[in-house]
Amino acid sequence: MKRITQVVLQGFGFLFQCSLVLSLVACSSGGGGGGDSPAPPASISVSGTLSAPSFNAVDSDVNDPLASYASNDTPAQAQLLPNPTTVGGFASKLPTSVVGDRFQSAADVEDYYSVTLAGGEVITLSISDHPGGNSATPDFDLSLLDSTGQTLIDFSDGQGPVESVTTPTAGIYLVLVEAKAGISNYTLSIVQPANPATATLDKNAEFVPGDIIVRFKETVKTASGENSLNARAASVGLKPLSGNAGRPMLMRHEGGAQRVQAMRMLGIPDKNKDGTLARLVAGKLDAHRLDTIRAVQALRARADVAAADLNYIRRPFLTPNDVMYSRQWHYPLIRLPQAWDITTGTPATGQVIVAVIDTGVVLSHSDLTGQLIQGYDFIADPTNALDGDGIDANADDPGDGLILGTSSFHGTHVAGTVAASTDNGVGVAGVSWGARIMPLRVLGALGGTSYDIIQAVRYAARLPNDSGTLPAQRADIINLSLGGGGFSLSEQSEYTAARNQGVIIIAAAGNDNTSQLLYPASYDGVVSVGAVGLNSAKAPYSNIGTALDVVAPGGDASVDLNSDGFPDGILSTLATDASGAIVTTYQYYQGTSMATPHMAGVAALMKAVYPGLIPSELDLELASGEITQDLGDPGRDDIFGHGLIDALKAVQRAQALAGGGSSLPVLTVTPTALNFGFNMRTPQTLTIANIGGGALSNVNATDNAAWLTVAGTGLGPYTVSVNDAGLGAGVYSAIITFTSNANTVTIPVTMQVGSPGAGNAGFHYILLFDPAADSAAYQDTAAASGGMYSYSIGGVAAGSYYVIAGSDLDNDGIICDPGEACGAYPTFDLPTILDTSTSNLTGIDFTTGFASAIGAQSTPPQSQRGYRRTSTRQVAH
Amino acid sequence: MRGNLAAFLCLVLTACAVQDADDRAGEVGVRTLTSGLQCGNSKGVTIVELDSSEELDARYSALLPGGLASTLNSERVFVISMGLHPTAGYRLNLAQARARLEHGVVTIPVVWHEPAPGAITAQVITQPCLIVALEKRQYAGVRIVDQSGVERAVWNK
Repeated sequence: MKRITQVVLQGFGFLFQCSLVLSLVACSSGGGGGGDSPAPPASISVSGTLSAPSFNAVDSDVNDPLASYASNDTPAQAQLLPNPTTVGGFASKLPTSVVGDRFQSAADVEDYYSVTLAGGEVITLSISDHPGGNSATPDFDLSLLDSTGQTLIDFSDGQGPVESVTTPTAGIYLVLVEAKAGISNYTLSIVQPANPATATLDKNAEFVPGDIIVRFKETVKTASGENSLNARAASVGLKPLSGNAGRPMLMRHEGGAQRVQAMRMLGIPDKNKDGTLARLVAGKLDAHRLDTIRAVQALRARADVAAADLNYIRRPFLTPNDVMYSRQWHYPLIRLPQAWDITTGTPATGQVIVAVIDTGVVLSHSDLTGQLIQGYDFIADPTNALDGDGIDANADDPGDGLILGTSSFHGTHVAGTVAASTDNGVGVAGVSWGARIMPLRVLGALGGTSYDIIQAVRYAARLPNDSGTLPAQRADIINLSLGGGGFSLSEQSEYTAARNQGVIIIAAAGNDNTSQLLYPASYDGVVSVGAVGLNSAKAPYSNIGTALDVVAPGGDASVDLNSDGFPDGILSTLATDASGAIVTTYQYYQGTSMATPHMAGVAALMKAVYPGLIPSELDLELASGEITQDLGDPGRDDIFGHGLIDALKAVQRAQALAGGGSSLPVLTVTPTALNFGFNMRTPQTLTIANIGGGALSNVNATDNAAWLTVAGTGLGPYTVSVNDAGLGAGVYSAIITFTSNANTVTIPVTMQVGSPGAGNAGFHYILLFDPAADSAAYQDTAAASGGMYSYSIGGVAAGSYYVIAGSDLDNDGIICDPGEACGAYPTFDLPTILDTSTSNLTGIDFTTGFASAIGAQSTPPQSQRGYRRTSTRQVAH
Repeated sequence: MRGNLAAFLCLVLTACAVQDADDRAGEVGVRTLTSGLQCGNSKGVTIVELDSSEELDARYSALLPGGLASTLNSERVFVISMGLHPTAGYRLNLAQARARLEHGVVTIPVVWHEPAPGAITAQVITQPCLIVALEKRQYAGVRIVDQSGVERAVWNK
């Protein structure tokens, strides 16, 4: 044994000597001549300050043991939040069982927050680790309770990655995030009042409890092969009432044993065995209504169900019977069903024509049958046209893809939104199906040219053009879901000429998420249309800026906010050539291309009611806010223009104009809302005007708040001032009412008192990230103090590093996970490598924070990847 | 002993042959299965392998109605995504039917189409993809290189 030991020791000694030599060699390799002693590596420090946005807050009990802790597990312990805010949080249904976690041995099921909210505020919960779809863990629910936590106001308990609730009125509320399954970070966003999204399942509407209207897919049969009412009802555990195969069926979801069976067969977990809803359901909420809502949601997710709906009571609006209508959330969002009760686009005489200047239209699509009139193909270059010739009278879309499967059939999708054949029991609905589409081809394999597009515009306006022909009737509206190129004076004059013929021209604002002007949308006299998603938030891609006039649904296919199992895109007619032949179909697209035909279709509805509508009148209606829902800042803003087009208001205004409205006075007030926020205390101005004819008189302004003062008389400017002296911190709302001998206009006023407070994005890890090694080389930690984090990392070897910082709420060793705060120097979008080979680096400052769950807030973008922090190489300062 | 030597030599030669088949510089066949405008990965330019028919989700099943079972008997299937783009006019196609193979890495030549700067295009979000099939063999990696020699995506074993 002794001899072996000696050998081992000698071996170690040899190894040690070798190591020493190797070290010396390694050290000398960077030096000058052989044998010189190498200079020691530079020891550099990197320091700076991070700042968190004032509207960021962090859950007071997260899984990172180094983060500060305060329980928010009960209503009495509710964590106070500012408004607006984005909160990063963590919750778990079960203990994590991971050594070192704060919640290793006990779960963090419920997080309560207390917040003062205005009416109409939307609270959105995004479950960070949810992979999407309806059938995966984790599952978190969102509830809105009164300030005592005893009364349920609103709830969202789907199984998708996003939940949202809306406040009915201003007040103090408790917001509850409850883990029903799994473990995850989450982001909770509270945004200022916007018009709440019109969900496709109106939980608060009056409906028959237990009743469900279901339309099954005839091609998907039951296990027994039968499609009868009884067979279908048995397959889903419901009681059959009426209806039959091939048409909607009325079924009932009853209580007792039948309920249990139905819940089981529909795969609805009995989530109310415990938790908040179980406590509140007894005596506080109609459990039968709740179960009916859940049953409808479960049915919609089934492969054999085409549509499932509540049996609403006294539902006044026209509901098309097109089988895919229930997936067109974008129509209820702009109140088209209500507008359709007034008009579906067919005028008393003649027809309304919408020219779709695009890739052409697949003329054979069954859901466009009867909706099309003669068009034209203005693509002059056969290489671009792909139809073997230059301009011709055939506007059929042959496909614009040089490769099979890559044709967009974009014009067909746009045309379907404008005026697909509707209420025909087939396919989809269109906005104004009484209108007729004039298909004009200008976009081919290589896009479009300004010249070709102008020829099409001239044709549509019944002006001389290169076709040598004129349409029998000029178009009333031109839809241009295209853009590019720069400003051209000759082009501007062409659009002015078409407008002077009485044609309303509507174009897409663009999809680059910039304020750069896109043409033709930015030409004078052209209505520029941006895009919103299902919850009326700005679509991530939609352009903004001074030329933006209005927004309409353009979709956001990256989310499924209504948890219907489909992306939140715009559903319309389409075709595909993947097989080598053109096959018609229906599909979701997203873009300002899709928003534009919504506006064009609403303009067509207006024309059907008021044929005398001219472009300048439409401009006036948009500018007055009379035909839109105001979003964003009160009045016009660069993100939403004059707001979200409102089809009901639009056709009602058209009725007023048609009924001799031009001779009647119409009171308008702009902007349509005022928000004094936290810091704005200088008086703001409202402008009162008469946009009709006749004389507007007896104009009088009253308000309902002692802190508000309105000064002015008659028409013209009114000064609105606020006084927050003596008011406690919180959100204050009031209404200014303008009356006249004509109509009455109300203006909401909002003010916040107090300080937005310092932001807190949670306990942070600041990394010097070595891109060559793709790992963190050095690390510091910091907690927020007054919204700031100070860091200093010393002993840094010469090299190149990124500085990346973030929180690790779930304590998985990785910062910047989904739902966690993240930032990089100088900005996360464009991180810059720092060279630490020369001198200490100070003032390396940058922002960090949580990405907003949903919406147009300007916040740090969600990171694409996480960065593993180091637990062993924390260097002394 | 002689038998063992022979067996040993066989093993060595076989191993060398296998190594040689994987390592030799040469070409492999590649063909397009299908392509589309909305089937790509919205997160960026990527290449992923589809090695099971069960992996066909809604994006691909419509483009490949026959599934992949028969294809996977003799070929390997890869989805090349162009990422998310703000307009139409983006598309991808194979430049030729042969791909270079070197040291186990196959380089697939593609033609990367983008709209010309300032072009007038349809304002629809697209995420195109190209689905290709390669000869079935071991690969250490797959590279996608465009007509300008730019490496667009890499897949590693």
